[in-house]
Amino acid sequence: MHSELLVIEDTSLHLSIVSKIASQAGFTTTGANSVGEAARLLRERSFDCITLDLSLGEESGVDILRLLAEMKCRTPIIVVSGSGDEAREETLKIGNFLDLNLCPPIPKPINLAVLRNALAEIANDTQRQKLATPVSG
Amino acid sequence: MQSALADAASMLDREVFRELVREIGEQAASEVHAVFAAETESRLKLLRELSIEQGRTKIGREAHSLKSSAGTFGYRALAGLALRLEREAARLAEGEYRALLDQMDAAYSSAAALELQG
Repeated sequence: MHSELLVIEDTSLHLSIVSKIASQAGFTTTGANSVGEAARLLRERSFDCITLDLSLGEESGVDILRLLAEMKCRTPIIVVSGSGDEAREETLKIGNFLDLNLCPPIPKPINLAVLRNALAEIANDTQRQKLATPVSG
Repeated sequence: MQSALADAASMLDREVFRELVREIGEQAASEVHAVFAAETESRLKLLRELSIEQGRTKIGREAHSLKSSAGTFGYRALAGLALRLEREAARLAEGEYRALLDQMDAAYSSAAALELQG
């Protein structure tokens, strides 16, 4: 049983790398390269984890955080960004203020082992929760 | 000889790509490397087409993406120059911008050539 990951990334390169690492960690991935595409997917489907780039062309990943807060989303979110430490820390503060479930951010260039371990931990937690939840009907 | 090796290491950190191969396998790493090459060449071409006076924000964004992708493949010098462009895009003069692009093109070509040498 795979967990579902939404990768919000505007470059094909990083979308591809995160997807391949996520696959090893037990995730099936869906990519979104804009705020609009991510918003559509988040309204249509549920995900077990989200990775979020802060710089999405002319748009900002912070807009996604606001949307997730409106949806009262508690899905684990990993910010994966080449923005400086200060920007990542600021995003963490915004996420906490919005009562979102933000994991420690991962800078770019991505430390692949760190990302894999973080995703594997979330995938394991997700599977444990799914097994513990009785199936209705 | 040592100086040449040091120059090469400052251009390309080969260990970064080896790590990528260990993590996702040789075939997948080759696939993403092809994406990197295509994206980088396209981005360097786009930067050439932009004028610093009219495109500072876009140039800063493109430099930001280039910095991350170059770092992901161990293209050290290119990543460093892209970081400089990202930080200085708001105040560079056109001539300084063109000179920096020349350095970035050269850094990309040198690192790519080193990769081909194996």
